[in-house]
Amino acid sequence: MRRTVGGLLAAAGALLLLFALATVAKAALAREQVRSAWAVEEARTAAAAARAPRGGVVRPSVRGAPIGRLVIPALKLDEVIVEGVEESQLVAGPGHLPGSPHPGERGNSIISAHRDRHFRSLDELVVGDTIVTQTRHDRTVWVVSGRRVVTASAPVLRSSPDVQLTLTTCWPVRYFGPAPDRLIITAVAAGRVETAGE
Amino acid sequence: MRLSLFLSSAAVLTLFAAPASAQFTGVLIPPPAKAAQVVQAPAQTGAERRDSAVRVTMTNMKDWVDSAAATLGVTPAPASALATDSALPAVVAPAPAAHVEHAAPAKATETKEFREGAPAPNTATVIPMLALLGLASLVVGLWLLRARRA
Repeated sequence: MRRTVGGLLAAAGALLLLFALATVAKAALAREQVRSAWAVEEARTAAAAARAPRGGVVRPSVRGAPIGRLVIPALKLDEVIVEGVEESQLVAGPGHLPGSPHPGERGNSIISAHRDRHFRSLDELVVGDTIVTQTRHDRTVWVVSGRRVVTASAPVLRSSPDVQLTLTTCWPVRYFGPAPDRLIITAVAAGRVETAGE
Repeated sequence: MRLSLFLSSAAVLTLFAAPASAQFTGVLIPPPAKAAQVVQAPAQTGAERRDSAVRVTMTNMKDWVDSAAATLGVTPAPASALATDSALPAVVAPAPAAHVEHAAPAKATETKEFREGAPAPNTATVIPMLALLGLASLVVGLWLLRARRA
């Protein structure tokens, strides 16, 4: 009896561990794929940038496609942003919330990611830290202006007349199980360089 | 004997309770704070009016009223009844969906696209918990198997 229970527990544990490892491996593979896709996109955009539309218009993007790059020097974070915030997109990288403007465009651009993957150290970000985003058309430098923790159902997503960036992830960052709260980081644009046509 | 004494005491207290209370309360000096409150009231009302005036200029009241009317199922007023200084067309457009979302915020799991007032996207994950459970189960299972052999 004891041996049977031990065998079942060991088998179940091994299966759970394998599933978790497979998920992490799949996420790493998706991350590399989206990074490659962004490199191709960057090269393609550099060639056709002069003809690309710009100026605060939200362009529909294919879900899962790379739309830009997110760099946070203080956290040594350098990730490719993908379009969409569903699980299939968040495994590859921080997801841009469809319907919100792209980073650098007028309005509140919202980017979300898992706390155990790309935003695992987002809680270390403090007011005054620098964030850099690069999209097809511009590179924007942001300064963190606020951070707060809200409940998961709190209505926090708001449009803005200004150029604003919002990063969200689950809170507490180190928590076993579905985290009950959300960490909201807001940043304001400190500088913007248009890269289109370079 | 004691019962009659108790009843008579109760009757005396009951009969003279009101005059005694009047005597005691008559000694107290009423606080003069009410006059100050009355003076402050108009000042507060003025401040609120100033705030309300600012808010009216900062928000689009026309859209807000239209969305509220649509939510409550109220038929909007005819075009002729609208104020003549309205900058919007006379035909009242249906309320945008974003205003309706204010009344009932969606669940966190439903935020897949941007909506005004929506909660943050659901980034919760169970992978760390599964990994920990798996590790614990594996260790306990192996320990049981090993203990059996020993």
